[in-house]
Amino acid sequence: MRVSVEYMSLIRDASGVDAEDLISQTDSLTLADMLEHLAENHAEPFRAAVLDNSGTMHPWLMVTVNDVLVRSPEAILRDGDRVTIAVPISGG
Amino acid sequence: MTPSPPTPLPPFANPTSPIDDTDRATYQWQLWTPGFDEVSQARLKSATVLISRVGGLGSPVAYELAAAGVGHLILCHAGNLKHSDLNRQLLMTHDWIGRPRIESAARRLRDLNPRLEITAIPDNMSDANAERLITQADLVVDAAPLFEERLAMNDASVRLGKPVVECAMYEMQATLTTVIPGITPCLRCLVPEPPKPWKREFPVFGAVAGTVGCMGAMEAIKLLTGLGTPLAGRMLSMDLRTMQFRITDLGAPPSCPVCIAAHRTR
Repeated sequence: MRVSVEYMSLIRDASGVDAEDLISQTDSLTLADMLEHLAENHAEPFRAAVLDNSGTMHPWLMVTVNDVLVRSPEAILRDGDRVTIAVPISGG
Repeated sequence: MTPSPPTPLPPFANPTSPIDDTDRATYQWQLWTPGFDEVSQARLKSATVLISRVGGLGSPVAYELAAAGVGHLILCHAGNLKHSDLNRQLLMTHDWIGRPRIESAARRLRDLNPRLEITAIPDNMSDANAERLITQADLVVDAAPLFEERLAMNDASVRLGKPVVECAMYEMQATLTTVIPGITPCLRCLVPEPPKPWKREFPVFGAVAGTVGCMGAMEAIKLLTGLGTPLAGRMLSMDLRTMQFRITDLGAPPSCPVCIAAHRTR
């Protein structure tokens, strides 16, 4: 399966790229699995930006799947899904 | 996971102050807008809007609301003007360096609209003042740079049942959404605690602030008058680097402790 991932705000800064595809040999993937895969592929600032010290998704991380906000790390992703990941912004 | 359809909302301001001939002349061009009539203009004239910070984002919000004929603005902003404010804080001018920002904002708004009533508060929003100030407003526009301020204002607005337009920016990106207490997720539903990576100072152009600030003002006008369909329960995200605009469905109904407690007391 292939999931397209787009990074926004401080996550884009931490990843160093605007977007990438995640390819998995499985038919589905949880959001938590996806974040762990992405963290393995990036330098440490990215892991710290998306996961806490116990490997759990930060409570404030904003993840959308096909333009719908998803809050559960157990949400299932499937082939062709479009994901965005962002730290909420507060610039005023 | 598919987005749900947007919902129109009733107006949040009552038309208690009728418009006069000067209003008719001043607002003639917007009164030609389909769906916006003299009662709508009277709703704006009768409305009180609180704007938290009149810096980069809040300046264009306040300016556009003053131009559109909102009757009363409550403005909150602490501190004195610095050179580094001037690339984006359009209610500030070079001759005001070192003097209170809130006074510059009030002065510029009165130049634009002498009939505008302004309550200028030389403090930022906090748990100490949020409820007292928000209770006087029909609607709140959040343009604060720190999540601590935003969450204090969010919690008080949810308790008081006041809608909040949430404007935010970073670098060449911006977001906009509207919180309707009891109907949509509030800011604390989305951001339960301040994100650790967020810093008070960040890269941004004034044109980014102007873009999302004007959109926030339009959202406020829609909410006050019942015009169009606001971003209730949806978030507009924009990346001005690529000119990509996207609307996200914020999904689940209000679920945070603040929303649940407010629902119990209603």
